[in-house]
Amino acid sequence: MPEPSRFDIAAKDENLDRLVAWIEDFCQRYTSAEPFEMHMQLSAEELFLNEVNHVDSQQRKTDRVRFALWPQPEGVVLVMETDGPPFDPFSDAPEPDVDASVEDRAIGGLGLKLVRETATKSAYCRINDCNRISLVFGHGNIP
Amino acid sequence: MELKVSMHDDVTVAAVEGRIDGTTARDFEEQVVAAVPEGGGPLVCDLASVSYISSAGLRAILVVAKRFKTDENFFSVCGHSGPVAEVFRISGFEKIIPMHSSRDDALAEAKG
Repeated sequence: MPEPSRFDIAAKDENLDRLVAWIEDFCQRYTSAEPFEMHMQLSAEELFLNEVNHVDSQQRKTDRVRFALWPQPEGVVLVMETDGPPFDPFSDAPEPDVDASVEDRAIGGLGLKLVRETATKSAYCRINDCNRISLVFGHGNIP
Repeated sequence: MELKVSMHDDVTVAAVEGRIDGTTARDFEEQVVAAVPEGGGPLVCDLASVSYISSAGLRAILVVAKRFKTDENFFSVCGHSGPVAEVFRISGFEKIIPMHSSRDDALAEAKG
């Protein structure tokens, strides 16, 4: 497996543009990732802003969010690691009611659903007191 | 994200260009709400030139839709395609917010 591209940023919303630029640059270098660029941007934004907005800074050892992109022959793998309290977005987050009317719809709660629906495969694990979220777009194996 | 406002009889059209994401969604919401004349009226949000929308953009659209529903004013989204249409489908917005493939179709219903 080729070496991943890594990106380490502080959990601050003003860093979102830098995260998007990093993904755009990666997709220009790896043609196998380019078809999945929008889904990668969407998932990375949702996971990153979830970390920025919903994790109490007092509960973190650092405010760093570490991303890695692993090129695959027919896709790409995106990994995000943080050192916040244990949180599995694929089982701990409530499923939004997408059948509710405008009046009854809750504001928010759709971000993690977009991640679940646009990634081909997803996984969560707790490693060395860190949350690791891995997403496969297209074909590939979770490292 | 840029937003251009035009009036078509009494219908306000807000044409959006660019990305509606976690960085721009709040501006989008504020500008759309400010685009409607005092006293209200129908609003069409033209997303034909929007290349990307995240849940922050969905949140802004839902806030606007709830406000127009409460005020019993017409609100519609039109022109969206590709990744934006996919996000609307996944989120179920297609079922709860009036959507039209073109601005002309949206204006026809708003004036109807």
